[in-house]
Amino acid sequence: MRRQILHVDMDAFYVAVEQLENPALLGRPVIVGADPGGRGVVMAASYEARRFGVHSAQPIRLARRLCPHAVFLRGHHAKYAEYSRRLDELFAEFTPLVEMVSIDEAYLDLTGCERLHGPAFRAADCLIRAIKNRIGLNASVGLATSHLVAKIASDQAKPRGLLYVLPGYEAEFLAPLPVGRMPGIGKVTEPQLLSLGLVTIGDLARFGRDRLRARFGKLGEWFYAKSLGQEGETDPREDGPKSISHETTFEEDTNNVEELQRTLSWLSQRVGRRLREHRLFARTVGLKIRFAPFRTITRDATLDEPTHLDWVIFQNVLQLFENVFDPGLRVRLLGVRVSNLEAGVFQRRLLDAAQTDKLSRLAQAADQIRSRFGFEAVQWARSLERGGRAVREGVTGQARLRPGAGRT
Amino acid sequence: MEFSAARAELLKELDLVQGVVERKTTIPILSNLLLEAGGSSVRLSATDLELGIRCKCVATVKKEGSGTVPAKRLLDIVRSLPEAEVRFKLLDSQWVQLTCARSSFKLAGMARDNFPVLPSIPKAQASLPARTLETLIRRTAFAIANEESRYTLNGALLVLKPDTAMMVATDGHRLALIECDVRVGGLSNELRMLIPKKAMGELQKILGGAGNETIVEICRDDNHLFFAVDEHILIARLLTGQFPNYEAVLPRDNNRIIEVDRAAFSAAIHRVALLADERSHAVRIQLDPAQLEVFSSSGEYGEAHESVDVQYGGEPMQIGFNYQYLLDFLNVLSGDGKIRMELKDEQSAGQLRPDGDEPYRYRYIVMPMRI
Repeated sequence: MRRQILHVDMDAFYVAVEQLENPALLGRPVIVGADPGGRGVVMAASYEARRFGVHSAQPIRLARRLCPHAVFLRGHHAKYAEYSRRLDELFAEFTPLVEMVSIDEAYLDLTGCERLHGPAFRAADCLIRAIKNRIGLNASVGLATSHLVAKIASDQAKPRGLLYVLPGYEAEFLAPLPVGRMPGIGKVTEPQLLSLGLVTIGDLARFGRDRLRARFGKLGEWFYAKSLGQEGETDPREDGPKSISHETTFEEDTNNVEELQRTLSWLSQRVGRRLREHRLFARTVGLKIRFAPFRTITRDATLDEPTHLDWVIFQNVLQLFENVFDPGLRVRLLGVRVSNLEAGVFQRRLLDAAQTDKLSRLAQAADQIRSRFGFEAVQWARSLERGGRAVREGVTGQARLRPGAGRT
Repeated sequence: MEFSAARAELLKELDLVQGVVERKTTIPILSNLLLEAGGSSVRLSATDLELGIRCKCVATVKKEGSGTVPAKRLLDIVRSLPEAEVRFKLLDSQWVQLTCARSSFKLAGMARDNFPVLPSIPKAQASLPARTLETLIRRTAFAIANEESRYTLNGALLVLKPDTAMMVATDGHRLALIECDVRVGGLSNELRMLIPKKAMGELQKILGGAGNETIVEICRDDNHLFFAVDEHILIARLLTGQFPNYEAVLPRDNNRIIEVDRAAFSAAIHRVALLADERSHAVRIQLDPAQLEVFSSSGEYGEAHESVDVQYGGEPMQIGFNYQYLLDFLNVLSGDGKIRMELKDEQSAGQLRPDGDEPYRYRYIVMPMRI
């Protein structure tokens, strides 16, 4: 059966939610992000602001220079999570196969749903209208036979568009696009392809499977399949992440131990959650601390038993922190990183097994709550009154086929 | 100092003290032995500051006195000598001359006064058969951690009561616990002590050479433990710290009971382990009624499995273990006996014990691997 994959990407999601709740913001340049006087980044910008060159992940100070008359808003994560949950519910009415890849982006597998919704194209149209009518937000949708093509199609359709790539026309659709647009081709591979004169995805297809393989091995075959819009095989580079890290830059440098510890608790929970999502255990836990202005220290601890538990990560990070913290210095940035990730076999510890099992059950329950109500829905008490906010996080060593943080 | 001793007698004692001699040469005197001739014997002492040992060897003393000699060289020399009287004579400037049959050696000694003073042994507080203590040590020492960690000590806990002796050791992954009904002399209530791993090893050597009826005397002062076996005295610095709360991890409701022949089980694991993953040492055990199967697989070399007949009537289950942990236990037992394996589920600690092991009550608790 021919697959029908729908990629839904909300238009300027954070900004749109703010505008929905405060119509006075409509039609104005709106930027959601950190304190514009501080050193955080832009989380989302309305299309009006984008005209001035503002985009997400840009330093907020730069955004203020580019577009000083914009309305600057701090993010309201709980609110966005609530909208995201409502979107998820609405998607579920269309198909049980919904994959929310981030707060404002999802894949819907409509394969075999024709009897319910009619042709997929009509279902996609219905979905866009339902999102607009029942939630009040704009979405862009790509419809195709594979995740990859659907994702690129929704991007092309932005804003407020629907793009249907007809079955059999995937290669033709992809051909004129630059190679860098293909998920999985990034700053390492792109220059290599360009140096071969391969500028567009169509060039890749014409270069041919054999020559790509000769050049890039298994990866080359994967490029070739993708250039034709085919799916199925996974990225050969994708053998799971090598490390997982979360960092926070403080709005103001601080030497307040309690605030620093709260932040470490929070970061440990983020990292623990990600570990569990990847079904991995970490043997090494690391701390990154940057004292103002720019002296950075990293320290690692190796564990006896690999872990995916927030509490264990936090205890180790805390120990590392106490070893390096100097109350005479102010801290600009904190980061928690786990590495030496293991998926499989390891020896369990005997003496604290009962506690580990208890913490595992706790983490499992927390994850279930978080997957429905968002990360902030439940956390360790210590991190509740956290001042800073995570501005950068990363999974390294993983080629991201479907990047979670999509454009808004 | 001038004395002579039979080569065989001397060699026996030199072998015993060798383990205590400091191998690193940061403090040169510690790689020397102290020889003290007096009466009708010569006393040999060695220490690495953590551990000290004193032995006695029958000798014909011509002139009383003492001197130090490099321990390792002395052992090598005496080992190579023919079976005859070995003569020692202290010369000027700490030189020690050694002659035997037609060989002669001159060893560069060090000033006797530099040799650390070993504490003198207080009155014995407890005594028990050397055989018993040797068994206690042999069956637990392998479970001691090599490095001290947050959770474990590199030593074992010995608890003596008037009519029982108990020893327990753990490295955080497994725990070996053995109790024995035995008359412990000189004790009115409990005596507890943490014995360092290295001391256990040396003590085991001394006890192993003791006769069937030999009694070991034990005492402690504020800083040291003393073990006296015949003419041997081992002095260990007391290990400080808290032994983990081992009672909390002893399984209580492991109700899947498997009885298996020890030798057959051990041989099966041995064979299957040849293709186990080299890093994790994992083997998988599949339990079915009346049969147990051991599986291994190594990404590099291949895989193996072997089945063993067992008595088991419960539900099928599988569980992963570090094969080395299982073999450590199976290897300290001997003979044709059976062992009982008591399991709960694939993630809870399993308990192993030998059948028909009186007067010992021996249990080995091992945490499974996540597979």
